[in-house]
Amino acid sequence: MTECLNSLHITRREFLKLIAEGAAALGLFKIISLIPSPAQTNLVRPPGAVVEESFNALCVRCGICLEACPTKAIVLAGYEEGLEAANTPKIDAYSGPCEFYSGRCSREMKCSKYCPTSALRLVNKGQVKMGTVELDQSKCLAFMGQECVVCKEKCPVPTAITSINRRPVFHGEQCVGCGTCVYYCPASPKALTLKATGVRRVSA
Amino acid sequence: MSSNKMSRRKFIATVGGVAVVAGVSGGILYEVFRPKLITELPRHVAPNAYTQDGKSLLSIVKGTSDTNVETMVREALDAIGGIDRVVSSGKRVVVKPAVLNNQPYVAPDPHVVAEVARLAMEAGGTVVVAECSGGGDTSYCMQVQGITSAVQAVGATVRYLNTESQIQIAVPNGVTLHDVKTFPTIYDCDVLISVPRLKRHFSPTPTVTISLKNMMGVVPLSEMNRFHNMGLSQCIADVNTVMKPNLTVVDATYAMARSGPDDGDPIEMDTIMASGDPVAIDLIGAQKLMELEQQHGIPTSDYPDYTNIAHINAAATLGVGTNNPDNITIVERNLS
Amino acid sequence: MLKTKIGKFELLRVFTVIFVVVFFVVAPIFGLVYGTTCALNFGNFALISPLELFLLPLGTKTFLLTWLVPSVTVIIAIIFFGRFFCGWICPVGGLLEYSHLLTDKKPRKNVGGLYNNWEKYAVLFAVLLAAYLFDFSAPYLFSPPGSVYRALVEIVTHGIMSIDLTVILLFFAVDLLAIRYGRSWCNSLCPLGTLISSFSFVNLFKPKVDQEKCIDFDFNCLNCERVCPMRIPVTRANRWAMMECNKCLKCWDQCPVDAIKIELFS
Repeated sequence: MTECLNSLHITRREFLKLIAEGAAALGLFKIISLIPSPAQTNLVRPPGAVVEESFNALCVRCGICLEACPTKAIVLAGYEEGLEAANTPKIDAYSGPCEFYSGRCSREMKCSKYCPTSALRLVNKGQVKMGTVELDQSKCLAFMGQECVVCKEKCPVPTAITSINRRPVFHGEQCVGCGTCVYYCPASPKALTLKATGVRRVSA
Repeated sequence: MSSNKMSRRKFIATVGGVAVVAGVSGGILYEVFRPKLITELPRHVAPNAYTQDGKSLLSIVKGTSDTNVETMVREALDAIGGIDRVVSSGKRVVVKPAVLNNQPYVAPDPHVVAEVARLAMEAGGTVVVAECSGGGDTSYCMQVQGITSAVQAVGATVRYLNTESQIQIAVPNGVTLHDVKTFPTIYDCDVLISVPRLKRHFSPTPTVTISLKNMMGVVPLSEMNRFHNMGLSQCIADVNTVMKPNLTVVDATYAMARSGPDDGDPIEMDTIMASGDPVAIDLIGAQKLMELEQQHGIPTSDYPDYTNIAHINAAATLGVGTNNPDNITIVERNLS
Repeated sequence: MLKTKIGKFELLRVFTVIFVVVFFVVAPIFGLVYGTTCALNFGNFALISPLELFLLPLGTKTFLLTWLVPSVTVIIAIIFFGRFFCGWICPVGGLLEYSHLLTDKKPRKNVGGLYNNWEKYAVLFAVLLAAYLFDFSAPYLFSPPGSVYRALVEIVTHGIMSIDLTVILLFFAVDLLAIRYGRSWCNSLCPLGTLISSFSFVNLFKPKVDQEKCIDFDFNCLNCERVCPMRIPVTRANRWAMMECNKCLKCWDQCPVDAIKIELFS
């Protein structure tokens, strides 16, 4: 051990410099992480995600969930979501629908199956709610007199979207937040957004 | 540090030169690879081959739950004149099932699709079963519905249109649409056979999805978005003027009733229908569907009458087929 | 003093680095393996990089048993093979080593930090402490191969437009520095590299100098030291200095009197 320390040729002055530099780096980190990131509370996480407080510590930004997702629904969050959440996975419904409830991923949640650090965990899909979808009536084709309830047609949950008087009606409590309706909405700009409200996550 | 001193003038000249070359080559490449509008109609568009005395032939074959489905298909085709009126040796045939998604009773029975493919091959054609489903990944949906394996077992090939390149074709007689994107497989085929299931569709008004709406699966998903924005019913009719099935075989062994396309009640009907006129088969299919619903006590007072369905009438106006029951000769066969 | 030539193993090494990058980019399409150098999943078993392994319990203040096998496997590999990853797999390392080729043909000599500075331990310490204090694996930013691989994975899955702009800027900045300083990041700052070298106790495939053949003191040769990307004084190095060795085999190639042997056990 002394041999190792001797080979470092460290003097007392240099040791103190070490401590000071380390402290400065820490301070810089803390300052950067304090930059408010309002977008982060609205991140829709892949199914099987643990609660947000633990997620950023468990995720090592390895990108496995990104590659394993068969529908390309997972993207990496950018720096605008805050430094703490940057490069962690989130669901982008414009990129692809999450089919954990019914579809290409319904027998197993591939992202959770392959996550090596247990930031995403395999759970019963009935326990998962990734978020809730919100409708902007001013953009919705049905509210503008067109024949369209594509959202209701694509929704995998039978009771989450119904139609009354030729227009879609959203039942948020049944919504699992998969984003399939958002992905298929034909309006341009899209009338639907997926928000992280009412989420049910796995406790860490 | 080695110095690469370049005069400012030379630097600007180099950058400018590179920009000009990049711009010109980019422009040339764009022109060469831009998808062009194809003005010739698809090869398969032809007058109805299944007519008698100027009226469209339509067969309805009724069986029981024990009747062999393949036999019913053969009877249905035989009743209107046989598949060799449209398929002969060397013809390229596309069989287009209405797959949509992975839910049960939404797609036609795989045995029906496989038998149509087999009969077409028997008549001398090369058969491709193609689809671009609007409710999920086509490859996944067709495999879950059992169609991929049934069709490959009779020796036909499967093509998932969502993986093909797109071409743009003109719609000369369209009311809303003047061009539409489709796929080379559909454009180049000699015979197009539509194989849908008899279904209700709430989109949002109660209507039906049979053969005419099945043609929504030969255009890419982006086009479906466009149609929803421009008025779906007229767009369906416009598409059917350039993507016009030569033969339709409707699987009504089970019909999706009361609601649809996947959240209704599948009711056993043990029927197969066939015709060369997609408008006629939609019309009579809608009539039979409402009769079935009334038989089973489903309230249909809010549903439009079969003569009042928007896309069927729009297609008839454009000459895709006839929506006048007097111009349809129905041949019924009972196999029970 | 004596001219350096392109060694036998340099081409093999460059090829290996490129091959590994291409493999990890292409293999997910076939479902063979998913991941980056931060963590890999081969379907039935996973591997976690040592830096991430330390950051996880520090950030979460727990230790999950699912981390055990993926991390112990990697630690054991490091104990035996040392900084082999740095020499043969890390794409950033390869980039730093050959960036000088962009501007001139002669490799830079005598530049960059020493292997045995203490700044890198300061960086590692700060990184680990930051994870502990701020409850997130923020220091993942300091794993350069992870960032490069992550950017590649994003491009392959979502197309070229999804690339992170900061990665590109960092890429160019690091490249410019590397022209002058070569692999100095690797030997004097990289926290992942520091962690790996702290664990390379057994360190197989070390170079061993045959002191009788060595012409160092007679002719002031020191070729091996000059070509070593980790700046190890090969002829006089003790065991701790040798822990930095990334098995690039350049010293073996470039010794004019073949005094260096690479042995399994040294």
